[in-house]
Amino acid sequence: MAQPSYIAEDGTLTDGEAWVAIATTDLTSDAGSVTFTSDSTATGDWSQYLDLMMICHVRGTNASTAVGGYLRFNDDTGNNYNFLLLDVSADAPRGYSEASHTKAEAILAVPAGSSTANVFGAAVVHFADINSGKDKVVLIRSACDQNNTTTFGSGSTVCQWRNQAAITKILAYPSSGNWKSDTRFDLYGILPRMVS
Amino acid sequence: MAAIEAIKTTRLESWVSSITLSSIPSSYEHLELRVSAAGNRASYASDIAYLRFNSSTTSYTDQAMLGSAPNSEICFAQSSRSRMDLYRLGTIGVGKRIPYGALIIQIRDYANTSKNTTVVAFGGTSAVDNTSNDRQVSVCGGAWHQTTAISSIEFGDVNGTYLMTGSVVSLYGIRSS
Repeated sequence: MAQPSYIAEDGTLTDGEAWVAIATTDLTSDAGSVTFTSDSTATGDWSQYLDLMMICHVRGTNASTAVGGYLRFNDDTGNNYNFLLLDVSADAPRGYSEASHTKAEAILAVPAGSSTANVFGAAVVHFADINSGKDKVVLIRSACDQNNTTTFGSGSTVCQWRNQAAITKILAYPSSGNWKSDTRFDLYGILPRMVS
Repeated sequence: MAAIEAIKTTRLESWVSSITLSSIPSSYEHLELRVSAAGNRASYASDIAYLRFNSSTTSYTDQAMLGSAPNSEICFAQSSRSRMDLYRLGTIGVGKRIPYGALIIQIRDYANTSKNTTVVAFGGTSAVDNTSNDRQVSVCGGAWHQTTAISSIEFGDVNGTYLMTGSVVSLYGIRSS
């Protein structure tokens, strides 16, 4: 890994900004998926981070009011993902869960081809303790007004990836169709306290 | 000066009854705790975390939560509590793999001596061995009805007696512009 900014020229460890901007993908054309991968650069090596956080502004191209936003880690296509959600449909809350999926059904209420033009959904995704030997837990908050209908408007999700490996790759893709142009993902690394 | 600064990170290398983050400086605007933790509650796949401020055991706290169990919704509020309960921790209670819970907790304007302190949290866990029991995602929050600046935070497990090895609690300070 190249030398990160929290190591001074003399080798001293410092505590600077705890949130580090790793990468941004701002689509200039429709795309089937977006991928982020850990690398060996000073900010791009995820092994230094406690958590990751991803801010999403998303829309699908599918001819429907809404699509889901799915996540998959380290190219794992096995039945290793659980998820549980709380969302709002019209005026009623809904609790729902599934287990042993091949992906984390993470981002709710993603507007798509039949939604009001230029509407994008927002989501914040927290990846907890990504380098630990634990099964990984991901928390997601997402919301959108697709077109003032009774489709889901907001929700909270917890996903579990039943794998104890460090997360080194994140694939984000819509349940149907493509991500629409101008869909944007910003990935941040969150450092622990390093100086006692 | 960093806008968001890591104040302290504690990763457990053995079981402990609770984690106390003390000598918190008052120089930030808000605090944020990022947690990945599990307790030793028996027979259940999840538990509840608590916060206690400035070692106070007086009933100064109100709290409320809205959450989802596997296929239903739950919500409730409680008042005059001696601690603030937040959802969810994992546990060692059932199964072979500990389902650590994750929590993001924000403590707003914690050093302002003209305000009571408000907390908002978002957390959840998913079950061991793909069973459907005790999974939960929750949005919750509370108020600590004291204007004293918060200088210490105790984090613990409501129904268990220990936090498990591997649990991590990291405290961040968010500065104003």
